Amino acid sequence: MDTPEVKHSRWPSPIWLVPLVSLLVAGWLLYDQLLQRDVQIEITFENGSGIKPGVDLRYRGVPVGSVDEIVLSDDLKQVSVHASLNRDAEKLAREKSRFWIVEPELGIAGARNLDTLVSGKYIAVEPGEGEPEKEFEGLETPPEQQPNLGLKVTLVADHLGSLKKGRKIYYRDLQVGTIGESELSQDGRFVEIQAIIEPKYARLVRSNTRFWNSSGLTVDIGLFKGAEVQASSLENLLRGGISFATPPEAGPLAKAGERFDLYKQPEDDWREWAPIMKWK
Amino acid sequence: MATDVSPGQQRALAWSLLIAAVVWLVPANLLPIMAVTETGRGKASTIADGIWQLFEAGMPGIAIIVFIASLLVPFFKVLVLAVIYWRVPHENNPRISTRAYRLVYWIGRWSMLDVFVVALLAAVVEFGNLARVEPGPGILAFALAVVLTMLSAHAFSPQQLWIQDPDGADHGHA
Repeated sequence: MDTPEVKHSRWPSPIWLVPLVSLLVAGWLLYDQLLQRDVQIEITFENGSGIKPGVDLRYRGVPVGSVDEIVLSDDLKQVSVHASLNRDAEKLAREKSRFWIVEPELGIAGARNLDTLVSGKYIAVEPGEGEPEKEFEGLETPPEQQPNLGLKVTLVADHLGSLKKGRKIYYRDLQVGTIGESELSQDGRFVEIQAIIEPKYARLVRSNTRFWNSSGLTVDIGLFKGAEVQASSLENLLRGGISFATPPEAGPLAKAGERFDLYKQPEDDWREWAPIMKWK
Repeated sequence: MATDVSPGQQRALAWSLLIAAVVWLVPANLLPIMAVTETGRGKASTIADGIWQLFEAGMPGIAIIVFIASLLVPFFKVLVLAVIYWRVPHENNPRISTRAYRLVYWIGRWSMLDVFVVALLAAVVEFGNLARVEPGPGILAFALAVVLTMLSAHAFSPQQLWIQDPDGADHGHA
């Protein structure tokens, strides 16, 4: 092998800096681009409508990645969305991170995510704890409507009325929970409605708590008192919801799965109940 | 090449530039040379990706041309130059070597075609979210590899091939 070497000088010619620097820079470029490429993740959804390659992944409204391709699962029961997360958003892919599809919601009581009407749907991500993870189970509804968290109790009512899934549960007109799935009781006489109270408000629900349907108006017309109209909130009036109150002698904390009757309307004094309950 | 440079130094320069070119060929072929975004759908492709896409799109002819021009030729050039440089001290067939050298030198001017194509696409295809072409890091490496190969060929003077009994003895060649 006759690689030329400059023998006259003690030091190799500075010419050899060219390949050396090239090696360093090219190596760094390769490392930077290949080993630290976007993080590939996979999210499975039951329904991928509106999601197509190129759709954004967003966190706090800012794009942090995009969908590469969508494939059907082998049993055709799910779609799995392959997406790449930007390198700087790598930390969003943790064990308990949650992904859901954001779509426009239009209703008489309000509209949300209207921007998605124009820009199309996107996948929102909420970071979670735990080890880095590549495969995720997508949520079917946004986490604020997620029935998985919080105290679940069952409300028994004669009719479902307008208490559909996703409607809210109020304590003193403050939203503290969500209505989950409903189903017919086993004997067919009642409707069982699942109520999910946010974890931080779970202490407000006691064994003697009363739940009532706060949808609609309560109109009370009397000969001497005139007409009295009661509605908990306009949104509630339009969308339907459930309110609850706990008597002053608050009972023990409600257990998960406990059953409560759902009253059609509150009795007069329920609204005045104001037990002191440290809810934090 | 300046005449006051000794043949040994000349060859050292040619070799070092050639080695640098080889180094840059690696990222040139491994990294995406451009990213095409169509209706929000982005796709970065390396040279090999592009050739495969052409092939799958039912254009095997163009695929083969691109394969030869963008993938084979750069390697071929480097290889031929290396063989020529290596044979200099004991060249016994200067005619063929000179021909090969002239060929490589001549191809050199066409090698930046890829770079021009990407530059052109990046400048012309710019329709916001509808379609956009962005150059990738691979094309930079490719351009560097091409330039370095050309410089290397330029630094070498084919006259060396014709020196009968090269004073290669003083370059450490026994």
